[in-house]
Amino acid sequence: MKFRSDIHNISLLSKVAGTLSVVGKIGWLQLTPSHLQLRVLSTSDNSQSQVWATISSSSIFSDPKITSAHDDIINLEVPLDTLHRSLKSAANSYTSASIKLTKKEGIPRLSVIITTETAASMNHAKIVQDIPVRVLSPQSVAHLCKPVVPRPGCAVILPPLNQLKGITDRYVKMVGVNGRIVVEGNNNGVLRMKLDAEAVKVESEWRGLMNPVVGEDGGMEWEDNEGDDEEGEEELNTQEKERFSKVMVDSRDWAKVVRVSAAGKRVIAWLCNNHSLVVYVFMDEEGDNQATINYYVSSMVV
Amino acid sequence: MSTLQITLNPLAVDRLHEALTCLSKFGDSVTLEARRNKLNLRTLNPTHSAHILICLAGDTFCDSYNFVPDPTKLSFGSNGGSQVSQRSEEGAFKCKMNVKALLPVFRGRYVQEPINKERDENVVGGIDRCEIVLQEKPNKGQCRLVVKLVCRQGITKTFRLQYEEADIIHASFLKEWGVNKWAIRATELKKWMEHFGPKTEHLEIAADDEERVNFTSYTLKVIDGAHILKTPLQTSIELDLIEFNEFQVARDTSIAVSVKDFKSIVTHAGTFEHVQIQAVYGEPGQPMQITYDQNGMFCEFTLMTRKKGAAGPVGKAEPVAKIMSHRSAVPGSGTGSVARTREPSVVSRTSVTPTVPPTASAQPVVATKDASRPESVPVEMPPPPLRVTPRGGSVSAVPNSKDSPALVSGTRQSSLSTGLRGSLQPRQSQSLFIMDEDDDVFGPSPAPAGDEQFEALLDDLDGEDVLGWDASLGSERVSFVELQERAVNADKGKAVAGKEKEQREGRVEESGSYVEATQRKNVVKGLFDD
Repeated sequence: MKFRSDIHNISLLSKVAGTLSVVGKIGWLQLTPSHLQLRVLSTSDNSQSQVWATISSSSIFSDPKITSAHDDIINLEVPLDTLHRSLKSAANSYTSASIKLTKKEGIPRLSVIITTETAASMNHAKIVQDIPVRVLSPQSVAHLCKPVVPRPGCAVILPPLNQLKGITDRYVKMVGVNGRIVVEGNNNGVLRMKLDAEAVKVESEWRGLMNPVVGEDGGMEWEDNEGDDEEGEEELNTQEKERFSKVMVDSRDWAKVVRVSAAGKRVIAWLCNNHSLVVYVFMDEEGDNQATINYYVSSMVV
Repeated sequence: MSTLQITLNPLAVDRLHEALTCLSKFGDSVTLEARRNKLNLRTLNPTHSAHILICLAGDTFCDSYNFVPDPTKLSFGSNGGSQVSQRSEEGAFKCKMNVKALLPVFRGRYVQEPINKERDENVVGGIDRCEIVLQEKPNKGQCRLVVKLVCRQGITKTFRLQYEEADIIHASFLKEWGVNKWAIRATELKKWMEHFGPKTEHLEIAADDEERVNFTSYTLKVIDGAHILKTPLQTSIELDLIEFNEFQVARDTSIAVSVKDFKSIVTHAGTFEHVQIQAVYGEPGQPMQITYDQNGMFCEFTLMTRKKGAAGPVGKAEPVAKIMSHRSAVPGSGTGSVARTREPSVVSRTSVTPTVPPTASAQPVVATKDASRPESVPVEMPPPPLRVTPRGGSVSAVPNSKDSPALVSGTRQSSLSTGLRGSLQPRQSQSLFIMDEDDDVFGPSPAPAGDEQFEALLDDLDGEDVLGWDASLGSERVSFVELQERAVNADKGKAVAGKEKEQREGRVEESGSYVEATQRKNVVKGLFDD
């Protein structure tokens, strides 16, 4: 098992690692010749959520050399904050960077090697950051795959994220950490956030949001049920457009979703009525699926 | 009654706040020592592996500085005034305060980064000046350090801070130890240190060849299979010697210090604009001293160093021998690793002139210093006579309630083993780790087995290979100014010596106990009450 590559975009990798470290401490990193995939499970008391980040190999690595006994796929468990930390300090000022899988003191590590120019002498200084990792066997990750969701009742582009974040933080304060927040939206560009706590009832509504066609951006998957009528979006009548799809999520999960969303340039939320919330975060400009984060949150039973 | 009046400009207040922030990273309390021309702030960390001295010069740091020693304290006790070190201590006002109580007083008082002076005058908010006055009214039970912040719009904020009586602890650092030396711009080093993560414990500084220096962080914690991912980030930075303004280090010298301590120092140094950090050290197991100064603030950090990998017997043996030889060359410094100097102090007296008998008569003086001041000795301090060991005058530096009389008086090892293991990990919890370090996690490394390490630990209990704090050192490294000060103090002191002694003795009989409350309860007010 060997992995070694130069990194040409430290900040993207650092951003993804930092974003995902909001969700959980440890992530599953899958390195393949074509892409890098990072998955994190959120450990909340009464709900389940998971985040998948997929980055194409070429958008981070240059000239990666990866070999393993299992189709050149390497599965690692990595501490996300450590990974983020090791990349963050170097992201601003590096002349070259590389990453490799090593073993030091009996612990397998991802070594990030950064050379940087010193301000004083313009000489090169070498910084090595060793991140402890655990190598996972292919069997132990074989059963892991992205969750399957039904065709969403509503797909909506989230409102400006700094605005959403400010409001969400207030909601979380009001409802407490284990509170429930209802998010509902329709295909007429309306998104609502509702909170019904013991002492307070709050509702926020955004109008005029965009409803992208389900699946217009690549990398989105859903499972159509047999019974569903296969009407196209344009055939929705006014009544159907107004119909709200609703999910209820843990307030802390929602806060995490919003924080993760803030990392993206374009964020689409899928509301699968009473089933789940899926948020697609595109790290790059529209149409570029080189780096995406998918956030799956299951809706709580009302 | 001592008089202390200090005026600081807003910039100095900000500097003071930064200094206190730095001190607070090492310990909870700060010892203030006011002298004729300077104010010393000191902190010793709980494991006694780091000592910080920040000296504020009266003339350059402060806008005005006025300290008049308490005339009643200018005495020499029963042994006359011939001891130099004692004289230097005479009259200095010492007190101990909680850093956390001081921090908010000075926080954010300076309006950051004025572009030019004229505009700064008009900046809304911020303070105009800060006045610090010592209010020592023992009779009224009102002993306070009063900090007055005169704000720009005619508002005056007054803080009355409680303090408690304190001893001064000096760090001992022998000149012979300073064989290795380097200096680097603080801002540069700060930039490098930012790469180190928060969880690693140790920082190895190694000069392997003549061109590069390696800063490597490492951990000694045992990490078993289940928690392998909690292994701290291991960072290594390789720098060219050109980065240093000065670099004279013996080949293959490698020492290790605490990352956290080192980072705290560098962070503080980095707040100065063009400051150069100078580090001086010897071999692993001997302290390292880091100094820098600017604008009347002089900072000196003494850190214990260790050999990388917690050192097996091989690694330890040599430094121990060396230190012993150094120590024998310095009278009075051999036994006490930490010496507390009370005033008039048995300790400092004995360290300078070892012929002075470990006096029973002098011991009460230790406890009832300044009978006229209703000040506290912390309640948990052991009774003073027991704290003075007969041999060499070394005193437990830990006012630790665990130190039962028997323990303290019986062995100096007891105090050493609890606190002074600079080269070791903090006690108790970490000693567990030392036992099973080098578990198979670090498998192939050539480090010794747990037993040997434990032996190394025991070896240390001999008290030789430790970071030494010695009162006598303070006297040997005094500046010219201090010498002048001593001369002045000596003259003043003789006159009042006898009277003072009488007072003290009377006090001893009267109180029966050496421990007193700071104040009567009915006069106690909240910290910020006016």
